[in-house]
Amino acid sequence: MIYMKYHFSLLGIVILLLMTAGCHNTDVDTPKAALSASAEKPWNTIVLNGIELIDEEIFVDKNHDYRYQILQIAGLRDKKIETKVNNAIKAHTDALYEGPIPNYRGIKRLLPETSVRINEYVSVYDSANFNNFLSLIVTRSCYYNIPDSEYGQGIYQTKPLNFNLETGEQLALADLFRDDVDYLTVLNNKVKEQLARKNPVGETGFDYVSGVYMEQVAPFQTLSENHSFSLDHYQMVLKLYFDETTPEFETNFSTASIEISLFELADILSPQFWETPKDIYDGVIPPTKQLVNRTPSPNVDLSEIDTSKENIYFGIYCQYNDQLPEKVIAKIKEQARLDEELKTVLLAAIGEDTNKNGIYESGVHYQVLGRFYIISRSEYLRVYSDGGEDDKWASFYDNVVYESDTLLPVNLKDCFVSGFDYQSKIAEVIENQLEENGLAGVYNPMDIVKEYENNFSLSTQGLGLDILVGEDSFNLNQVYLNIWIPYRELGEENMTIF
Amino acid sequence: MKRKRLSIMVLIGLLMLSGCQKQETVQEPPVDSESEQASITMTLDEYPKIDGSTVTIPLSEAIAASVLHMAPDEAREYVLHNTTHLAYINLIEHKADLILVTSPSEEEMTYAAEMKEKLVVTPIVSEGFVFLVNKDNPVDSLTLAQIQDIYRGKITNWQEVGGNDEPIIAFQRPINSGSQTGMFDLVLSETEIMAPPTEVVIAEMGELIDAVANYDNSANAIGYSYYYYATDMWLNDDVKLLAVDGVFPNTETIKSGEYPIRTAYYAVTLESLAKDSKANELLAWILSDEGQRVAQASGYVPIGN
Repeated sequence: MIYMKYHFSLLGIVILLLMTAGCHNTDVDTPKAALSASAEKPWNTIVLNGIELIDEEIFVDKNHDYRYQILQIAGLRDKKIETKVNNAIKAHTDALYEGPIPNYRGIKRLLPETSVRINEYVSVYDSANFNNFLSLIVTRSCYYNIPDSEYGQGIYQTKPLNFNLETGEQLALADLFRDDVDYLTVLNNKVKEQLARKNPVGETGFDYVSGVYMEQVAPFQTLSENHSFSLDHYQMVLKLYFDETTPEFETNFSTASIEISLFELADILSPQFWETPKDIYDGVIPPTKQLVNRTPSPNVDLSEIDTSKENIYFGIYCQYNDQLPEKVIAKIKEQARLDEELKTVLLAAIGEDTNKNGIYESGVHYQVLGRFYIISRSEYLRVYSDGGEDDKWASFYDNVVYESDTLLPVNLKDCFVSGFDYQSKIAEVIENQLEENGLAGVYNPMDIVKEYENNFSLSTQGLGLDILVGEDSFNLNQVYLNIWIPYRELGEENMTIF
Repeated sequence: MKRKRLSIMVLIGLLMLSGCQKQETVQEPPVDSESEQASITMTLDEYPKIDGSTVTIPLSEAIAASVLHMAPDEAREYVLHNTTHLAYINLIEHKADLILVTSPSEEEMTYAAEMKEKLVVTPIVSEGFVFLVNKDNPVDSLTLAQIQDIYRGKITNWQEVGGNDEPIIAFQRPINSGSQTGMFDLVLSETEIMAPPTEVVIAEMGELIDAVANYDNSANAIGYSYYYYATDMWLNDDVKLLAVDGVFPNTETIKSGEYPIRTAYYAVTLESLAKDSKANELLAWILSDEGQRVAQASGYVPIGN
């Protein structure tokens, strides 16, 4: 019954959302500046390159833990270009592995000639692999003993490699930008903005996402044309690196980075970032479209925790970015609430039994992907009993996808071209999942698709459904199937979301 | 000899401020520190182990390049500063011979006393504590009393000090940062200063926390820093420094002492250090005309007359 009740409340939410959205469907909400930098660009998707990355780890000396990773690509139609790229990756990796200790500030005071290298590892991974750009992060990590000391010292380097796979040439910063723009001035100003904001008085240093402590010890003048950089297509940022080559910064024997959103640079970027890329692949791995992730980090926290009852914890977690459109913020806030029905259920399950503890947590999450806002709500409740024998738990997921121009909810049907039998396709995937979970024949997959027509989520590369298939939501039998279907499996040509 | 006396006076002032005279030694620079002292040369083996604050790294690099007769890029590899507190610890534990730092904290002086060591603190370059506002703010000058009242929360509108009718957003810096320590030492004590504006920031593990808001150079903002940072590191066309008590901060007014909010960076050694040590020889050179020229060329304000 609880399950049914909850579905009533879910239905209520959906109706409320539809009504709310419906009230404003002629009043288009314009995203604020920080999110609309690329609004004039048709930049809702990128295309992942049709290459395979093959890596192998080489142990040079197991006794000393000296090893390095070799990464090679496969899948370019032009094998000469492929070889050129692979040779460049290998040469770069070898040079880094065999190279001298970087001349970081103080390195010769810290590590005299008698220091012994205990281990060394060079690794490679891709941070951007789209629209015929390839960014590889090559890192070197060494550990040395310090003579006459019980301590050692790690030395870290990051030396990225960037390629244009159409030519096999390595990219310089200039290659990322239009020919007619003064990209260095733009980037310099972005760096100065960050320095002024994060480190206005210099002496305290600051952490970046990479966790590297970075301090400014001399005036920052300018980046150079060959400044070390990489792209990141997960975060959609340009990363600029600072290390021994930029002594105006102290990076503590490591490489620090400053990240600049690609959306902030959209007006000066090369069209290669959003134009349909040239087909340069042999077809073994098809290039695949991906929704661009432009989710801004939260900067407002509305979370509330109630511990007024000794043995019951209520937590509502809600964070958002205040640059989101006001109506999106309002929708996020709507979802930041305690479900009274579930609260009643939890309180009843615990009663006056002081040997039982209860928890109710509700979280609201948002994403901005391509031209969609995705707002998800999760709820979790659990009763803990002495010994755990009477433990009960339940969780619920509710997802709504909104079209960014109209802020109207999107249903599954809207995601596919007219005439495409998306229901059968999704039902087929669900059927396989049910079978894998021993639930074949218990549920009708097509009924599930219809039930979740308005309750699904999008990710950068696929469509997701959080399907509740339990008999009862609060009696241990609850099972969620987290279905995730890659867009390429659904057929990009059948979809309207790109 | 004038320089020696000034050093001692500044040192005494510093000791009085810190209230920890017992652990300190007022000591004249032990080796010839005549201002006309010629350049010195040391080999890498002779060069003392120097540690220090981040703010003195450029000074340390310039000193190393001059004394070791190396190119700056090469000298840089021998300059290892472990930040202020660690530098003090390293000095007290004899892992460093001389440190280039901001003034010692009570904790550091207490530790020195526990280790039966006495710190010899010698000012080597001058520094000013400066206040900054947006360039469009019509206010160009404040008195020290007005600044103190702004940060006490008694003056809350720019109109009260000759500016526009706008509320004053008085930014501060995080506790334990160099600037905040400077604010407490030189302008207003920790017990008198009002609560700072805060902002939500992303901490480790993605957690959102309230932190002391960074100066944002908005039209009604006021913030503070050290002159060296403010001018050398990040001052731009949108920010201006304020005169204090009618004196604008610049190299000359800070050096002469005319600018009222003044401090220094220090060379600190242990009293137990041999008088004829290379560290003391180097200290004397830093105080010489040539040493001060090297410091000035690196962006610091000479210690003055």
